[in-house]
Amino acid sequence: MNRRDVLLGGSMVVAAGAAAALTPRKRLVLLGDRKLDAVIPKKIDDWNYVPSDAFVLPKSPGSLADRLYSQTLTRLYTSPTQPPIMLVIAYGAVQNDLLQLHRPETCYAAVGYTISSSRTSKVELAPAALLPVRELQAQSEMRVEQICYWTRIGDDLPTDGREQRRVKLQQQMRGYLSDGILVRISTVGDQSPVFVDALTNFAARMVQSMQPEDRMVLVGRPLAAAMKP
Amino acid sequence: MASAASAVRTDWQSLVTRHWPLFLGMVAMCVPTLVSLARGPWSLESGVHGPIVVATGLWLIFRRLPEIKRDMVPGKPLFTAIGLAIAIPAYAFGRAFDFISIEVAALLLTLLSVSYAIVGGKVIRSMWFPIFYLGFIIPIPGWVLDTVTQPLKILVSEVVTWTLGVFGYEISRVGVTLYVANYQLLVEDACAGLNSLVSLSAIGLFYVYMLRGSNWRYSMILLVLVVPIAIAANIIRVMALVLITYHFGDAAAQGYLHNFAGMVTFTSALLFIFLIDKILTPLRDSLASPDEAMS
Repeated sequence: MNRRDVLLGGSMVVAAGAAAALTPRKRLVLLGDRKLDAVIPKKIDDWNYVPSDAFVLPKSPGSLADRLYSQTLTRLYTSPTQPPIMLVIAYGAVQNDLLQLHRPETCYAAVGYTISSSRTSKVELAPAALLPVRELQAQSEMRVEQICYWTRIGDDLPTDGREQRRVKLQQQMRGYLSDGILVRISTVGDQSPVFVDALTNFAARMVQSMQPEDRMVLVGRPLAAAMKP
Repeated sequence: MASAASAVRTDWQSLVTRHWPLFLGMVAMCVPTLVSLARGPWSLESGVHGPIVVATGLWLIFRRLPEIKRDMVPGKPLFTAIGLAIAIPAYAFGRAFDFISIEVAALLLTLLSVSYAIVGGKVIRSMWFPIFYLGFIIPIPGWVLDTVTQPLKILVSEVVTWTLGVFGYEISRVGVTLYVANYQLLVEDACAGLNSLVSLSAIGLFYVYMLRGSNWRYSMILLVLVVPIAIAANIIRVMALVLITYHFGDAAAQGYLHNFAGMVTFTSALLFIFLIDKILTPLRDSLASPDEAMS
């Protein structure tokens, strides 16, 4: 045993110790014991849930989606007066470097759609509660889809991949790990107000018609609180 | 041989007792990272090569222990200090905040800096291959892998569609769905084997080094060929999947996908490497420098 050994070995122990000290220990789980299926209303305005299986979802047993998400929900809503709406919600209890929400830009591209338009927007849930969302237009050889989606990581609502990684890191530095959720609303149709507004409208009405104490599951606590009169 | 083995064993005992702070530090850093690797990346198809690389990489180093002992001269403290000044914060950051790629890279840099302090620059330089090879245990983040493999998936499905079409199969590709008879296959699932690109490269690299290591010009050529080989192996995998679906139905194809597909990819990749190595024999001989050719 000499001075060099102590210095080198000591610095390695310091590295291990620092890593252990910095590791977030708290968990922020907004879903709790709730089931997605139970918290999302089956009737939203005059949209009604109908069983269907026509979805773009990269999922098979043992696949990435299977490991990524601890709960998923896919539903088709139809209405006598409005375009049909496809709702996909994917929930992951833990977000880490290997397992994190996949944004629809990647998911649609992976199944052969091209994203022909992408922009951020806000959905007004209540006068002081604006939900940041991303609106996409996805095109395949056979159809055009309008998509409106948002992601929640803990209480944050990042609108792109970089922001998603940044808020996750910020939360970890504050000492906690959060759950994450992706809410995707889509309809087959062109970029006309009929379809785009239907999505926005559906998003707002869906959150509004949830039980007030369940809203944080989709939009986080600050926004859910801001919706209360 | 037996005496050499026992000499090495006693060596280890006294080494650990004499330099216990070093070993304590290494254990403190390596064990948690190995556990994370085993739980995460190594259990995925993109990282199955991890444990193999660790084992073979360490073996490559240990079999040259006599040479290391002969040539070791303590390195410059300054270089070690710089290496550790980068590696230790990076390790703590990566490990605490779940960036396993950073964590593993920083761990390797730490071990490299510590080794340099003990054995010096000459030995480290002579060990370039095992060091580079061990770099394959750094997991590649999913989003990087997706970006790289996405165009390859399209290429693989194109080739499969075209080839089987030539042989008269009714197969077509719309977007990323393959249609065979009345079955649909998602290219995404069919081409999942591309995630093994890194594993195949690692194994190919090891093969090239073990058999042709002295002929480095030739090794480089073989290395460059590893990527197309991995792609070819995946074409075989997808073709087998399509043919099984066509002739034996979906259930058989799913069984194949989950049980044998990985093995088929791996074996065909190895066979391709052997084959190319064989075909290129004249080139290998012409590239060998006179003294190498003699040995």
